[in-house]
Amino acid sequence: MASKRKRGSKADEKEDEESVAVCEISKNRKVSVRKWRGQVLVDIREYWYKGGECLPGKKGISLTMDQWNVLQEHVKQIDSAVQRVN
Amino acid sequence: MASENEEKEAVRVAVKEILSEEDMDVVTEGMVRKKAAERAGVEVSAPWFKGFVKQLIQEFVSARQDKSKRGEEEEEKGDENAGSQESSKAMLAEGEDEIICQLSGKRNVSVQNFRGKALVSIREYYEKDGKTLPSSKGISLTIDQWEALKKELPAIRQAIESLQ
Repeated sequence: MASKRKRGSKADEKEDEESVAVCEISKNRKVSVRKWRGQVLVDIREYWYKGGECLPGKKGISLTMDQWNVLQEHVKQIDSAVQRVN
Repeated sequence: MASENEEKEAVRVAVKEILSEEDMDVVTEGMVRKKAAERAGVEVSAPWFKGFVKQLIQEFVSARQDKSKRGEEEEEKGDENAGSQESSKAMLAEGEDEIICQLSGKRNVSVQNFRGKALVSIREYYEKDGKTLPSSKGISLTIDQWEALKKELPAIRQAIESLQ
């Protein structure tokens, strides 16, 4: 997620945020794993392109580790509900 | 030589087995690590190993606590929104949605039937006039996107590992 920072330099940004993986799940949607102020977050979000840049959009959600773990524990249940969609 | 992902999968399986075999009141993380390393054929000293096993143990412990809590609640409440193995077996008709689990006080994961297509929605909810309504904060994934996400789980886990 693009964040407004008081300090502008890239070196300072690195202290707050560190993104280690970005996976595409569709043309415009990505999952990224980052560290934000000491907390690891999994972000599932839409991105849009502006002037050659790929920017995070408003549509999406950042999950904390607790939330991510609950999601992972329920993958099978999600799948079985998906199967039941008529 | 096995790739790190393959090794991690082997460790995951080994830890699961060990935790179901052992008496949880007696076994220590160190013991689990040692056994898991042996079974999976992985070096205990691998940089990702300790943190990874720790995470697996935490997942197991919290899942077990939830299960025993829910087991008691289910008997009293009947099959409400238990969220575990007891979800309704009925088909999801158009316009219907089923809450699968709660990620936090305000966030749910649900599966919806939107015009015949399944959507996996990870979203915040809010209360209005006694009703619980989905907010705009969240994302609804198509099946393709959900499948793609599942495929990326190992890479995502690895990324989480490396940041912790």
